[in-house]
Amino acid sequence: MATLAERRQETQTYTRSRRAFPWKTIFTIVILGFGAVLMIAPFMWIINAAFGDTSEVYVLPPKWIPLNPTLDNFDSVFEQVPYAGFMLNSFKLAVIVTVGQLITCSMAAFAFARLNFPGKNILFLVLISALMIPGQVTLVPLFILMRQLGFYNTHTALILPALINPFGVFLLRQYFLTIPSELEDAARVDGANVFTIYWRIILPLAGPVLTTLAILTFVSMWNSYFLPLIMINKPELQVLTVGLTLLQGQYGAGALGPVAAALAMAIVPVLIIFLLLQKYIIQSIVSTGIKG
Amino acid sequence: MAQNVLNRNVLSYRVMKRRETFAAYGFILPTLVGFLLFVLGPMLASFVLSMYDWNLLTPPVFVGLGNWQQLFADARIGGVYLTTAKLSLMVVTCNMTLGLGLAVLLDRKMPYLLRNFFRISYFFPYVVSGVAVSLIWTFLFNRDLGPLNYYLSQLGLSARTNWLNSSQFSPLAIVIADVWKNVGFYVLVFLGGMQAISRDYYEAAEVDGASGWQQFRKITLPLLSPTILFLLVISVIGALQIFEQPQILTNGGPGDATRTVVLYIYEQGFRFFDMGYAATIALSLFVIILILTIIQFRLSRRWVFYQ
Amino acid sequence: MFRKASLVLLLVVMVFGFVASTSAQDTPSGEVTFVFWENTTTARAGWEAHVARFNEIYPDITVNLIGVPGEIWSDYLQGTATLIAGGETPDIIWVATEGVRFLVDLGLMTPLDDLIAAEGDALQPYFDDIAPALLDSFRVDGSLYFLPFSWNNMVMFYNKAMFDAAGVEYPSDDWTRDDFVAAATALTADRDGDGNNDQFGFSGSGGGLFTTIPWVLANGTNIVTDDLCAPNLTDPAVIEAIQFLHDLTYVQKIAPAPGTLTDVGLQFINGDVAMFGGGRWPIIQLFAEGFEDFDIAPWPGNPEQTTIYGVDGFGIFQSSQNPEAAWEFLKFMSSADVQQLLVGTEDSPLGNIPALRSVAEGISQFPPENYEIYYGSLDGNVRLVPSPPRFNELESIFMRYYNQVMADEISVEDAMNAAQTELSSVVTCG
Repeated sequence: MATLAERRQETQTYTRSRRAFPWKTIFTIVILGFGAVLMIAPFMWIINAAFGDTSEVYVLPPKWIPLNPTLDNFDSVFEQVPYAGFMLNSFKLAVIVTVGQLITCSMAAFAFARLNFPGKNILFLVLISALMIPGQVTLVPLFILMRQLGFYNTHTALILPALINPFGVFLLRQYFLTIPSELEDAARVDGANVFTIYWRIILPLAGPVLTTLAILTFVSMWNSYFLPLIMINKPELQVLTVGLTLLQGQYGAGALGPVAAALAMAIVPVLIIFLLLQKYIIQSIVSTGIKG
Repeated sequence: MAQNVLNRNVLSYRVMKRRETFAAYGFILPTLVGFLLFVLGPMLASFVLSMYDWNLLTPPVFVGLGNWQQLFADARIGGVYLTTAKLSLMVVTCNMTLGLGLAVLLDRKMPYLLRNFFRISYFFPYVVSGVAVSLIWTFLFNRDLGPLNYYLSQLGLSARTNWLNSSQFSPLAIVIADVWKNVGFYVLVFLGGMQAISRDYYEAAEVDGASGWQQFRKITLPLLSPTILFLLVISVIGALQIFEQPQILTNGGPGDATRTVVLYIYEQGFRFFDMGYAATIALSLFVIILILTIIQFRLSRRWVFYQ
Repeated sequence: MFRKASLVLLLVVMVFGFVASTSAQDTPSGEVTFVFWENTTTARAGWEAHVARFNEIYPDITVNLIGVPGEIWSDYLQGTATLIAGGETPDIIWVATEGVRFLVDLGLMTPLDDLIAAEGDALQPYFDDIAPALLDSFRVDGSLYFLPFSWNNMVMFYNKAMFDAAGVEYPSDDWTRDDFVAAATALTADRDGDGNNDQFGFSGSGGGLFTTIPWVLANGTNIVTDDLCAPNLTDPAVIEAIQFLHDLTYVQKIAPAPGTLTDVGLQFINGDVAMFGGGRWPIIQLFAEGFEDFDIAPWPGNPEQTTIYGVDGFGIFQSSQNPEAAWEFLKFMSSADVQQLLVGTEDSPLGNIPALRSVAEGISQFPPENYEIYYGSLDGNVRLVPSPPRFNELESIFMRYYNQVMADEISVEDAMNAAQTELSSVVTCG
């Protein structure tokens, strides 16, 4: 009777050498490919609308590649709104908030995961329950608060509320809980204080989850819409998402060309960054799944 | 002599404990302060607000439980909650099943570049803003000139579907746009969860003659259950709050066919200037989300399998 | 002796000081905040240009611009209210008819009558050159609260090229509803033979109350009573108008189903839509695309050719800290020079009609040829866009039911009855 190991060896060799025609794989790839086309097609359509002149848009059958590409729509966007400024603002806010959140969330998560103090569990539950509050509930009081503090119509009004993120605390805490405590105990014996443990031991080990949080936060901040809509009305401070709606025009009858061009410009930088970093981005999301 | 040593040790333990508590509060401080100022504070303010009638421009008028009475007498709110439940159910189901299905397909052996290409193309819509996604789909869903209807009619399916102004199809439009945007996230998280499952289980099952489907049911699903719970909880909370897609695609219409609760809150508070009532509806939504999440966690003990 | 001299000196200094301070007050200075609707992408630049010119005459008055974004009027009112709720105290606001009762009934605006009277004859040229209908739109209980700046009505744009190709006569200036239907029917076609029309005689897409109501007005009625105290949706004439719009899409199939972001202007230029309703604002897009083969006609009569109009202008807040400077700005904006700018430059017409009649003549330099029916309508049958204090809710509720009708999911009677009930607590005077 072969041992399990031997049988395993057999199965592996079996599947590797006697490869039947990979019907399943091809079938899989076809389905995935079809799905991928569905994912990409809308972007292609918008790019076409962005580069096309009026006669090539909204025609049937739909065109996917502009035959007479023109940059008129893009000119139009820049003439009409300070679009580059919008993008810069969105970028600046996203970076600041991401860095800020990494700091505040990791500190709080460390405390919840690794330290003991009275009220720990209750505080954590209260913090998590904040996840369930619909944003609209806090919007108007927040607006009034910002006005009182003198932060209305400044970027501070957008940054401060975004610095805390119960989800981030939750995510990091779950991860920190899985870090074996031996390292920490050893450090304590050596006389390390709490901050040293946080800085020298926990943080370095938390690379994957910190990356995940950074990405999620950046994306969330880049795409935020409601708060900037209410808090900002100086164009030099405005963000991209609100800028997009400005191009829609009155009664939603906005000209398609410039809107498409603006959309294309909103998406392309994200696409480029995404393509450059996708290995890390995807890996970190995937590892979120690993940690469950 | 020994007693002194003992006392000193005890003392230093207490000191250490106090230092730890002190440090802990220090670590939590930024989050806590932010939470009080920007979450709890406004939240409580909303509680208070729900007891007033306030139209933003004149001083608030105290009405006690008047807004809650209005809520229970509101002819539209029942339909709005039903719509929200319907949409949420569809979105969660589609995201979870499609996400899992695509992840299973993606987990196969295939050229590295191809797998990468798929992961990228499925995940990219997730990082695009909801506003941009909704604007794009508004064009695509156009009844007479949009590409979607065109290709559907080429396939012989009924043409000229009114995606954006029909009680039957508009909810589908919202679901399509939402799933298109978000499914990539589910795919990746499921992939991660699946990659964490040791191959040993599958090999042993293979040796025992288990079919692919049996392997999936008996190995993959149970071992994925923590991931499934995580995604389910997030999914439900998120689905109950979708705003940008219904607002931009259909503005809640026709009638209230795609009016989610948060859309209704926005309308009452910011269109109709009834801030007190809007706060009341928001509070009711909060309670419902809280209850649903607790139920999910309770039920999860039955089906989630922790290693 | 000394005491007397010093007393006289003191008196002189006091008098001199008093005179000096009053003359310093003669040139207003300080800061004013001006709220406007940032609904188009060029809006802010336009206002900044006005402010720059204003500062050439009044360099001591700083005008801070606050732009409130929004797609429809309700968004603008809401954004303005949020602003004020947050503690902002603006001085001047640009507002249109839709928001007049809202602001005035809340006691937020300063009546301008005294300020006007104090000017004596200086403003007479302005008032003489404005059609009374424009001024009346800004009067509440006899007091004038805003100075008209520009305005818009609704006319029917028609694509001359398409009319020529189909051999259809251009609309006459007194055409009727039946003429309209006949023309639209002749201009609708199924070009690719797939059983669905892809060329439409008319498109009513993309609008709120303003673009839908003209059909109701042409029936000789309105969706609210004239005193703005009750909804009027159960009026058979209203129901007929809405039914007519519904049938255009679903019975005669000469109009596409309405939707958002349909860019009717583009469809018009591309020859997919032969007629659509609009004010003067579509000119901007048509001109930018170099499309000139079109003209405008009054609204088809049924029986009247009543069309809708809405006016925009400037008002001063009661809470303004600097009403003198604010008033200077208002006067400046009502001068003929500034009005002239509304016509636009050679390469870019603007989208509103100037309030001053003589200036409005200037739009003749741009298409359409039949421009006279713009200002001319003010002398005929125009009715103000119904703007009760709770305009936001009126528009929202009405459009919700209208969209259901246009989705062919509810009968017009049921929709109007339900809307009437819902609106009875919104449009009320009690």
